[in-house]
Amino acid sequence: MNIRTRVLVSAALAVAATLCCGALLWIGASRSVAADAEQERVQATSRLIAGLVTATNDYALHPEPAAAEQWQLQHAALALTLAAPVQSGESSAARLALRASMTELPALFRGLTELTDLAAEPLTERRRDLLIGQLLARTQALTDAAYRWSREAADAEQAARRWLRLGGAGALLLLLATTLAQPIIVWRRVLRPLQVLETVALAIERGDLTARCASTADDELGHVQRRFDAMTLALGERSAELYRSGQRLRAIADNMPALITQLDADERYTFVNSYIERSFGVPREAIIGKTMREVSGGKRYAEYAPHVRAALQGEQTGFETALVVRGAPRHFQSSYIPERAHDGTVCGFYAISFDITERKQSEIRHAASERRLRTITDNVPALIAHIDNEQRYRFLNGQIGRVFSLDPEKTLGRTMREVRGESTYALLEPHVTAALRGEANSFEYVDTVHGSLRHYQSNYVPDVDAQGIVHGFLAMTFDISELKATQQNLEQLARVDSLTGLPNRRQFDEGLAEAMARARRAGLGAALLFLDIDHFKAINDSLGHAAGDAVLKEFARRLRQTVRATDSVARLAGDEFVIVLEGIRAAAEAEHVARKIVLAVRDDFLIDAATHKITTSIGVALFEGDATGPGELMARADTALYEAKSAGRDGYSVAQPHRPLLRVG
Amino acid sequence: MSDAPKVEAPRTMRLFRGAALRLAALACLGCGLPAWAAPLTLAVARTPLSLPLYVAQAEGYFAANGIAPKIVDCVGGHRCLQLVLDGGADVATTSDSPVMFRSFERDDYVVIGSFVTTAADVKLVGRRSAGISGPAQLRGKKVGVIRGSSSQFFLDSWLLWHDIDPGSVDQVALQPDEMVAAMRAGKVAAVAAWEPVAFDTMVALKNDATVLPNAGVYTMSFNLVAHRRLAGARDPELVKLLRAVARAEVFIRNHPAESQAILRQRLGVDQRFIDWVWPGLRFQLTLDQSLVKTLESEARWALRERHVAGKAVPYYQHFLHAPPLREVDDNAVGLAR
Repeated sequence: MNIRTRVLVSAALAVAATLCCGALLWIGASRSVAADAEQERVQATSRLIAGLVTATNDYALHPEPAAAEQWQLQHAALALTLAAPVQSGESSAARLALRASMTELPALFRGLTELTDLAAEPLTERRRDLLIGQLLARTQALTDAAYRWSREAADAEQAARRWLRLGGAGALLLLLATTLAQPIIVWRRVLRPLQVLETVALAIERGDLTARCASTADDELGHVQRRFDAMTLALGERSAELYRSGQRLRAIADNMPALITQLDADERYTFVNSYIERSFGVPREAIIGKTMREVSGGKRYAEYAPHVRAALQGEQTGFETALVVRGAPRHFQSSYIPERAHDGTVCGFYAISFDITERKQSEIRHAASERRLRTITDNVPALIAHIDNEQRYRFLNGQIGRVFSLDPEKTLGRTMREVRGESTYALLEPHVTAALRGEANSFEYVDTVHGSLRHYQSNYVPDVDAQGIVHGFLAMTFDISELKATQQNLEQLARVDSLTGLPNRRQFDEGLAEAMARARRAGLGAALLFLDIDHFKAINDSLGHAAGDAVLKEFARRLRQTVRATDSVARLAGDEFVIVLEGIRAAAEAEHVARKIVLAVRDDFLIDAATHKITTSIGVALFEGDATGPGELMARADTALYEAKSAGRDGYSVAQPHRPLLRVG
Repeated sequence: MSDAPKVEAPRTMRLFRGAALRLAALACLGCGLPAWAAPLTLAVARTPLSLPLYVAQAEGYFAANGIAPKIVDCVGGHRCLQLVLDGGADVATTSDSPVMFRSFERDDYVVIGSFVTTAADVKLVGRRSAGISGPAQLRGKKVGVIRGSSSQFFLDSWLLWHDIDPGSVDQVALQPDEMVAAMRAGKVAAVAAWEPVAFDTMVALKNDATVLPNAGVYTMSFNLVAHRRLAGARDPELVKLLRAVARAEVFIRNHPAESQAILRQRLGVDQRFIDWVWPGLRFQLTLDQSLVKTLESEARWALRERHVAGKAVPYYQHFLHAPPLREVDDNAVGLAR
């Protein structure tokens, strides 16, 4: 039950109790009054009954009219008194008995009075004695009834007085109880809980956050106490959290590689982290409580003062400063951060300084590196540019400026199309697009620069960040014009057999296809002669490689001498040679050449001052301008060579399906 | 603790114990010590006046008060008193007249309370056929009367009231159970009978019976009379008996219909009889000086009319035992202490 209800209930009970007491007292008083009234009636009746008894005795002794009349009067008065309305209650039984006794008397008295007029006879006397006896007995009965009535009235009066006393005592007790109940309720339900609240609040004030009201009362103050406990719990948790947070912050502050201090509005240090202690070798206790000026010194303080003023005015500032830490100069990035009270006013500031010495040095190194890089890039014989994803130049090295006569300052920000022109851009555009898609690509192109045709090789390397986004590309272009010329020379060299000076296989392969194409176009035939030196291996083995090379060189010379200038002689490999005869109208022409070669080779070879006999076998394949390919022609010539070898060497065979081997004897 | 099994006492021992107890009870009875094993025996007259005892029995007031009296019916209070005097009962219900009559012979009984008063219990029922229509016709006639009872005192009082010498009427001694037959047989011209005999006579004689008007000359009290040996020695039980009777009288006053039903059932009468007798009955437990006065008046009459042997009126205070009733209700006792 809540307090309000209790108070209301106790008030209601008090009112009810007062009413009850009032009712009790009223009833008691009423009963007492009624009992008193009854007693009065009893007393009056008793007096009358006593009078009647006396009158009866009088008449018994002196049966005279006066006595009879007196009796009548007494009886009438008594009857009148008894005729009054019967009070409810226990006296009614006695009154009924009284009335009943009263009704019996008149007849008896009348009978007695009738005897007075009769003569004194024994029967009359007997009658008289009987009647007197009965009358006296009935009058005694009246007296007895009156006595009982008075006893009952007295009992009723006592009961009424007891009721009154009871009512009064009860009323007093009730009033006392209700009067006490209110303060008890107030004490138990209001003051005591408030006292508990106060005790707990004081304990909390002293810092004991474990204090609790621990109320189980289901009333308003019980709720308040429980809320207070909850609030205390929350406060304790927050305090613990704050403490942990503070500890955490202190741990972080102490272990951060930064100089962290806290100063109040008077510029006195209130917190110094352990990094400062370690860095400067000064215990924090030596700093805390001192002003910045005292700790830093006047000169140094002058440097900080503007920033201190700004911070104390609520403005966060940052600046770089140099300090000597353990004898070594260090650079610091300092921030002064205003500290605000809960009402927003500045009550101090935090000074946090990060050692940026390495960063500084790194910046210097970086700058030097940048310069070096720039020098390198500017002077490297390559055209280096960085183009963004809008195809605008963001960087050009010196070379590209010089080569293309571009002012880097004016070029930066312009597009490739603008800078290189439409025709050149058309060559570059597919590669630019690929690079901007993230595909690195290399390509060569030819461009006219300052009236001169130049070969370039470009490498586009996409500039992709860690997330894979292409921000542009790096273009590295090399002028390979000289390289190209050299390459052509080299290419040229790569087509000649260095021993014999004859075109090598590569040259031959290319030449054969072209010769065959020419023959088709001209409508003329061509012939392929495939020849090798008979028993060259034995010669090489017996004479040695040097001699073998000499044989090959002489052989090649003789071949060249034998054929026409329009014919091509090539050395395929080892001792294998091929000859392409162009402009052949008939097979005989090819045979003629083959014969001449055979004969030319038969002449002695002078190798190392010794003469040697060398022969050759030749396979001849004719090409009549049809669809035959170089490979097939080679195969036929090879087959023909094989036939010439099989026929005994030192001869030639023409690869025609229907021509037998011809041997030049 | 012993684990020995309990052995029941042999049958002989149990019988011996029971017999010994009974003998002790009888001895206590004989020596007048409270025989805690023997209940009170009540000799109750078969009359509407005994209603409080019938109600006490029916409503369990005896048991509620811790007694279990044995009730013995008897016809006429005088016979109930005789039963007490003979030792056949402890307490009797009887009117004042037998108390007065026997006081001249013995004093071994006491009145412990009057519980009913009535002026209409005893009636004079005459036979019309005997010429009885009024008091004057009784002269020289035979009138049945129960000697030594309220019937006798009533008849004499009635006759004297009507200026008739009781000697001029031939009083025929009858017992209550003889009266109806005597009237029917014409042996008597009238009977002075109490209820239910008067009613039975009326019913039996039908139109031939006539009730002669009651002058109101005699207001009878109906009393509880105990053997004197009980006075003091068994007062606690007498108190309980009187408490039960007092409670029964409260019940009668508060529940007249239920009380009448009990009376019908107990006496085997119908509602006509109840209606005939009920108005004249006043149920209240008292022990007053008026009883003394009544007894003295009757005693004087008895001496005067020579119905008893003796010279002086007995000291009737000696015949009243008030302590039990005082304990029940001090207001009910109107005697000097």
